[in-house]
Amino acid sequence: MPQINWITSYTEGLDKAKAENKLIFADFFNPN
Amino acid sequence: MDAVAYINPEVISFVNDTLIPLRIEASDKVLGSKYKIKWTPTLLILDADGAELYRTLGFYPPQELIPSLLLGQGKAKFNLPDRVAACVHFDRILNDFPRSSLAPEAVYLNGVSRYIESHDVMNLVGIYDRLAQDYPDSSWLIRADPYRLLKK
Repeated sequence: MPQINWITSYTEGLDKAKAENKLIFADFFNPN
Repeated sequence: MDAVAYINPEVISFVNDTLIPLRIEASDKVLGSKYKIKWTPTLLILDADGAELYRTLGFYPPQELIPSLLLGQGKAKFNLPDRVAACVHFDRILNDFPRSSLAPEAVYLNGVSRYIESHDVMNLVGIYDRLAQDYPDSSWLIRADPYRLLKK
């Protein structure tokens, strides 16, 4: 089943955004 | 968001294709503080250096989440400023999600972007006319009210 390919590492997210020339969609969530 | 918006196939495709999805617990001591997270969900658009470009708070159903993210992307481009790219996002809101609650703001920013690029005041008149016709109850019509005086 398809799902959003969430990254959970901030630095990995920044690196991927630079590499793919994209903006970041950051969801600050409450897991409870 | 997990139970409704994030399992929607259109949302999944949109987010995976156009953005880098990053999920951080709001209680994260470093990042929660850095981005001043006070409530959840807080949704941000960040650039690749981590600079905040757009912020929204609270739940979105699928049919509103995509327009919200498009608006965030459009505003980010508008502020660069890359107004041509911004209009691509605003146009997509208006073409694909014309009944979204965010469409009136897209009308406004789309017209402003086009006016700045062209210096043609008809773009400002067009904001008023479109809002008056399609979104007469929107607060954005009030903000565009001076533009009706530009009609010849």
